[in-house]
Amino acid sequence: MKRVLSVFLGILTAIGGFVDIGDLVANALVGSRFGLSLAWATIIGVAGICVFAEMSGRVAAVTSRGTFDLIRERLGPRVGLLNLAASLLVTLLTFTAEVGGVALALELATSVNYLLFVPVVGLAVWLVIWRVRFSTLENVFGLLGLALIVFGVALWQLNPSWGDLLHQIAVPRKPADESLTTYFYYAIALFGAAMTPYEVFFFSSGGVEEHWKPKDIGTARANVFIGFPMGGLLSLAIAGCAALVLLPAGIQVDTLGQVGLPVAVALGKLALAFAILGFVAATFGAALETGLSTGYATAQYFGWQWGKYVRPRQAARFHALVLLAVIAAVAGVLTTADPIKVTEYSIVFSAVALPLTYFPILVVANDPVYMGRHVNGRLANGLGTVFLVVIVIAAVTAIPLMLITAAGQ
Amino acid sequence: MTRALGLAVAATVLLLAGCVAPAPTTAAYEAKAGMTADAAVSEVRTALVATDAYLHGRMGSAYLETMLVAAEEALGSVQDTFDSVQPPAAAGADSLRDTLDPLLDDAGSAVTELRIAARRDRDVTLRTTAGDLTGTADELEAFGKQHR
Repeated sequence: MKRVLSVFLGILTAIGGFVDIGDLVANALVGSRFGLSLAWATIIGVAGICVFAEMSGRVAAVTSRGTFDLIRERLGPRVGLLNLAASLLVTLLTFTAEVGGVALALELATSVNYLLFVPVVGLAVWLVIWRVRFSTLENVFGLLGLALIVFGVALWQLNPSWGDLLHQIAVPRKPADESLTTYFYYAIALFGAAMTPYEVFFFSSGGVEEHWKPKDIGTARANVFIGFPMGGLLSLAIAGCAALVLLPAGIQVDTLGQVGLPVAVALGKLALAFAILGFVAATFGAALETGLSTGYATAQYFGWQWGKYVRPRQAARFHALVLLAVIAAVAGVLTTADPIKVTEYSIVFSAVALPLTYFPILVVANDPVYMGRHVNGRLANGLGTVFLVVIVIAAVTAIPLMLITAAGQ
Repeated sequence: MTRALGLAVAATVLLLAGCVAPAPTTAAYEAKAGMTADAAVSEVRTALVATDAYLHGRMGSAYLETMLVAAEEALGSVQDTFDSVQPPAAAGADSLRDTLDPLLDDAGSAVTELRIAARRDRDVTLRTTAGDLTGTADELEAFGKQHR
């Protein structure tokens, strides 16, 4: 019974923790411009992250070692360093966007300028990472993130033509007033938002934090194969709400307030309060994950003690790295760069860095020296290779499309 | 090394071109005017939908105020960007500017009115200003469609 509850809790937190500022912004923005004609990009992205998160979770359960530790050992320090640099830059950018996202969500609740919240949010993120147990922070913010289910309720309440929505998904068609390059630019943005590298690092490092063993692979798979797709459905619900309320009004999303607007229209004040709670939980939870991921990645690469499963004194360099990341993220938001724009760029740059993240995971998961009898089977390798091809295509085309479309204008 | 430098310069030029493109012809200027109108419509309709939700008790005042402030700032930015473009020396370009700029002025002023009324809890003013703004939004939308 305890195990069933543990699996159920893991699935719920995986659902609630799946959506972050990138998913919120990208899905609402795309829904408001393209309807659900780009839902395929989210679906492919969610399938891709399921494949690689399962691999990285399995690697963590079998080896009890962090991803970057294994990457450096298996592929050498140079490739590992390149991987670390790219992942760290993208994760820091995402961390900045998440901190900005929390502040923007608090502004929506209070109408106090978001910049005033930024130092407070930074302090809160650092304190939670410093003081709160790993399982507590993961479960609390994952469960609170479930408040975003209100977007699913809003979608239902808006009483759409379900046949039409499904048709948009099944037979995607570019809107006549949008260019093909812009269409694919936003496809890559959605793909990057769904496959953000930090999610995999956090998932696998979390496995080590929680002392996963091979017997826990089933639990990890349940989290990934049930929790992530359900989180993906939340993303689609956000896009669907935007498609129904914002697209007909000619509203293109460039603020977090616009993301929640369909909830207010469909359900009113109380539901909007849930949406704001969901925004805060999703962005704060993701800020914790990205903040921790910067420490995980660097400490694992250099072979330093890392993690919250040891006392901070025993992982002093890890905690110092996290603190530096918090300061950098807070400073980044305080430059007054628009957090929504930072988010948009972070998900596209995520797409560029994806091969560096996912190729080494495929290599390690396919190495019997590390994995023994839990090495990748034909299905995992086949799917991993197919998604790697998609990832490389997205990475190679992301920057040219960004330049051609002036970042999706 | 030289090739890499050349690529970097080309990428920078392209990026800058994406940010502040000049309008050497009336057609290019017209396209910019159309895009400006579309961007303005997005902000104005945001203000209108949010105000309507507030007036129907579906949104709190803090959320409305935040959205109106954002819409006001975005409209100002949209207009500044358009006005910073040097129009080509042609009567058609001047006509476009003479039509669009007053619409943007009206929209900006009305959203400011909405923001002030929201902070003072003046629902009647919100309702009447929103009514006026709807007309401006329709004109901007028509302009955007005509010059896309």
